[in-house]
Amino acid sequence: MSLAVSLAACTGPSNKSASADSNAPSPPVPVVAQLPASDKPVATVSWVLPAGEPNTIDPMLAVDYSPDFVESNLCDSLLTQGSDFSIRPNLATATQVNPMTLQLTLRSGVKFWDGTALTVADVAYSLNRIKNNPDSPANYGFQFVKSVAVSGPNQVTVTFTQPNELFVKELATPTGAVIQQAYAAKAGAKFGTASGGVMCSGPYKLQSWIAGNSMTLVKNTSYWNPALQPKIATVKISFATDTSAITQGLLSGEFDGAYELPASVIRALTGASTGSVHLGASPQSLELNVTHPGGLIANTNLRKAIMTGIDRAALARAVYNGAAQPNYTTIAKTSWDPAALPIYKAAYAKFEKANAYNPTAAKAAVTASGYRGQTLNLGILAGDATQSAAAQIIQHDLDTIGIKLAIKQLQPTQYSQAGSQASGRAGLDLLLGNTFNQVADPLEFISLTVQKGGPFNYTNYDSQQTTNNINQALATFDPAKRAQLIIAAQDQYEATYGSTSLVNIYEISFLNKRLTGAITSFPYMFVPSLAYIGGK
Amino acid sequence: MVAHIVPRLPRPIQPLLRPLLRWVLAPLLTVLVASFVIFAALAQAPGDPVYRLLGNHATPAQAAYLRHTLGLDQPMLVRYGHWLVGALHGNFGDSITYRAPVSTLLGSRIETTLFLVLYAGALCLIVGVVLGVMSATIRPLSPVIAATSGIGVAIPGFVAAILLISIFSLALGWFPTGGAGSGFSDRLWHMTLPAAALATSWAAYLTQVTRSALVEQRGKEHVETARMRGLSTTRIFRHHVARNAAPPVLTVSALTVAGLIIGAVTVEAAFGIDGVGSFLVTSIQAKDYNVVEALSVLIVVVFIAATTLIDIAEVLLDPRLRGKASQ
Repeated sequence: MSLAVSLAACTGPSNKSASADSNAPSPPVPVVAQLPASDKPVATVSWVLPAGEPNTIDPMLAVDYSPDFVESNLCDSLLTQGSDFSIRPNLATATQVNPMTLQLTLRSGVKFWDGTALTVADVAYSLNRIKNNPDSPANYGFQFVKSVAVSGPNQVTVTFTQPNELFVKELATPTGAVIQQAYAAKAGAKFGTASGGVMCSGPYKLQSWIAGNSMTLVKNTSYWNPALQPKIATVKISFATDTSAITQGLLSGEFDGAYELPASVIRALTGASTGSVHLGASPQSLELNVTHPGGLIANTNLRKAIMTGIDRAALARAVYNGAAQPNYTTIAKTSWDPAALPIYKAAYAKFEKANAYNPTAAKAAVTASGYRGQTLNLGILAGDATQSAAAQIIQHDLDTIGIKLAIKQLQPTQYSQAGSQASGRAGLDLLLGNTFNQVADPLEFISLTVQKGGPFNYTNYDSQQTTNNINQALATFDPAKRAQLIIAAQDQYEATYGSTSLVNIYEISFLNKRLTGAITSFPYMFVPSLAYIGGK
Repeated sequence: MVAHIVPRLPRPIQPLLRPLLRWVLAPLLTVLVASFVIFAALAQAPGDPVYRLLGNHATPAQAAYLRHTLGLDQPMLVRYGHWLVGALHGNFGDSITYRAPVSTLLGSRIETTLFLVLYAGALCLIVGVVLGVMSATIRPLSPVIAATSGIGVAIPGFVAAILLISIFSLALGWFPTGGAGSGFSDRLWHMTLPAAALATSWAAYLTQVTRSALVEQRGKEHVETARMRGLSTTRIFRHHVARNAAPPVLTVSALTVAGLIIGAVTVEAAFGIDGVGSFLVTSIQAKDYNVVEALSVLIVVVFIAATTLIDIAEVLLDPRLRGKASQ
């Protein structure tokens, strides 16, 4: 049997068409996936990372906005993403020979920055490195991987203990990045740090990284991909996390661009003389999670009251300045598989109706739940202005339907722990969270949320039927058939009102008016996004 | 009886012992106690640092593995012991977040903050002392300087930062809005507004202290006597007023150094400068033990060194204190 994976999809998830919510706010600027392309060279560009200095540029350890952004400009992945979330061949083409075997055929003629050829040995080494390191955040993707081995002069074969259709997609993220074996072995523990650097084949080379100060990337003049020759000669990357420092820097032209801007800066940056704000589709969402299986919050009526008692459109308007859209299921609309969009959309309509903001129905559900005025605790990330504003709206909405809510500010490590460990959620009933998927596939999130033992399965949801549907979906390589299985699972678990995505958040970026070509949708994070940018 | 058991120290050593205790042993002990208190406080704070590194797909097994790899599964006292032994050998360990030696991560950040603090310190001293002297000696200027310094003292660093950026960066375009700059002249240009923001309230405070110390000394009996003896104003000012007014000004200067280091936290954030201050804040949030420990101890050392040096300077300046110091 030979199953060819469909790696190209023609349409990306469009928030606008997906939303039928009449209250949904209109975005302050048009939502686009990419700015008009450019071929014009530019000498220097100054970029700022609002999430701060990367803690690493080792693809194996890169897991957050800053590390992923920088790493993706330096290191090519085996597969890549289009601005429409489609998965495409890059250093390799992938063929799913059968559900248990994936074959990667390496492109020839690719060289590392030092001029040596990128080989299948480097590919196998890079993948095995993640497989054998449980402290790699990407290691979870290898849970069903049996082996990764060189199987021919330009071929690497991955075998599985059970089918996992997600695996091939993750190769279009830092999980699939190829590093040079010899360099990594020599650098040892320093690999990926400011003093060790990396050796990759990407369109930009790391010229310098002064810890705590800045990074300088220079273009790789012998980059293998003719379609993505870097146009900017030198990129200076600064790390600033203070919102006003970033805003002022962009307004004064000191910084030329930034991704991951907080929604609070949209007003200040709209109408700037130096450049423009852009919005792009993104599988990022604000989630409201039920934190444990017992107690007051175990009551489905109370959960339903909370889910229908929150005005999601108001959240999108007031907290995100229109740079978000209401969402009514656990799966964020923006993580629907682009290859099966109509199927997901049709199934979504009933949830949009059932979970719509309805204070009268929510009040009735509160009464039916037997709730007697006890205070529920909502955990949020301390110091996060967006979460704090969202929590206050939620508190107000729940107060309207008669539920008392206390907001608990959690320090960053405490907050991370609450997201991953039951003991970290003690004393909380609800937890606000920001999530994103690396690829547009609902399974990336829900298999962790509603599977028995999943790290996000806070309510210990355990349904054999759901588990079967999800396991079958993981073994189904046809997007349409897979969508049907995921939707069947969705019908089952949504009835328990365990957790939900409240709003989908757009990717917010800013680019100086002298530049164009930037990818403005979320895949920017996993592709060499600086190579797309050039002069106007 | 007990007193007889303690051997009496030979007389010539005694005068040396007290300064040794006061200026060497006590500060060292303070640093040691502070390092332990900081380590223990961080360990007690809620939150597990490994989950931030593992991202949002972390399984408990992955977390346990990383915790073990980083040595975080050992008891707090053992970890502190390791840290202390390493620190005594000049090894401050690795950062959990960056998985790199703390010393390499601190290098450029210390340089940045040191530049900022020294620049701000120089501004404080020059502006503070000059305005203080002017206020005490040129009577018509006194109320104007008093009012201005009163306002200056009340302006926190981050407010000064916003004001300075909106006037000198955004409106006039004279200075950059942020960043630390590279190379001396570029750095000086980048750091001018941050240093000014940092110095504002301390310079104003120093103005007030200098002024009141000078005014107080001027009213002293010996100054009156000197004046009646017909000595020149300059001479009286230099020998009788300024010299005696120096100790409180020096004390405040030491406080200023500590204040500038602490104030650097907010000013660095406002100007997007990755210095020691902002690094300390992010490291505390990430529970990056070795970084927090190294930075906190560094700040304690600078603070203690500054106060000790001022203490010594005061003794040298005022002969009457010399006897007390060795008693």
